[in-house]
Amino acid sequence: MSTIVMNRCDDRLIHGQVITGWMNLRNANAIWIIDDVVAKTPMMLDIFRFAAPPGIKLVAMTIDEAAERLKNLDEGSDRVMLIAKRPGTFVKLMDAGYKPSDVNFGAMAKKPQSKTVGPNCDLDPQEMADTETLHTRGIRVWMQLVPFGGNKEVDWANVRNKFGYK
Amino acid sequence: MILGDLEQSALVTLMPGDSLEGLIERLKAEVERVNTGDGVLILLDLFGGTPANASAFLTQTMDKVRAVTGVNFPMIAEVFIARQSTDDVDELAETAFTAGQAGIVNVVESFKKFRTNP
Repeated sequence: MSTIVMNRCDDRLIHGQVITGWMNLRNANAIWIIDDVVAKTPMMLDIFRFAAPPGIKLVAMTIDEAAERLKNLDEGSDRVMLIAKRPGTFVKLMDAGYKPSDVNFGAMAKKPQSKTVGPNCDLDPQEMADTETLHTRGIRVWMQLVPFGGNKEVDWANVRNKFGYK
Repeated sequence: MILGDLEQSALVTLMPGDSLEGLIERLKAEVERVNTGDGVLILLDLFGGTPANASAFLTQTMDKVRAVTGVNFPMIAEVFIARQSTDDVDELAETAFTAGQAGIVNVVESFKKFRTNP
């Protein structure tokens, strides 16, 4: 049986030592990129595979494909890290029946109307609304880019009131 | 400081507002701006980082774009010197690769070897 050992949001997906650190910590051996663009751009997936740590099973799938695969984790014996670009992906996966234990936010780019909610983490209104949806559904959302260094994790539950949520 | 003003070159930095797609677009625009037809060599620091991933994507989707990671000053200097005598972007990529590696020296260990076998 495969196990989801981490649920992560990062709009740069896989980059540098960032992923290696988390994969070691969670003893993960596989990454599922859940992103319609990457799933449909084979060259982009090849670049990520080229740059990923050796021995990692890296696949990309659309949100619909991921929702199906998450319903049946009996096959295989992988320890899987799920990575998506936006929190809305996890909301959609939940709508399709998946229940993440928690969701970690890594790098989220500044963009029009976005607000800084944590270290290296900026959310636009839609992303913030989706983050709050995860929170109200009982999913712990926490922001931390890397598992080493001086940045401590920031819990959405502790900062959400600064962004108008009561 | 050492090389003077460098023509047909651009400096691109990963900014807090950059997603992967955003950086690809920005890099692509700079490549098109400095390219006069012979191609463009991108020098990068971290292999596997977002700038390197974006550049790797451009090497496969644009004509005559090359990329070398692990950038250091010897790499930059040798590439700009070599560019005065060649328009071949593959040759420049090879120069960057070789000069970059040669520029990394463990000083104490190398000096020890030098003293025992000058």
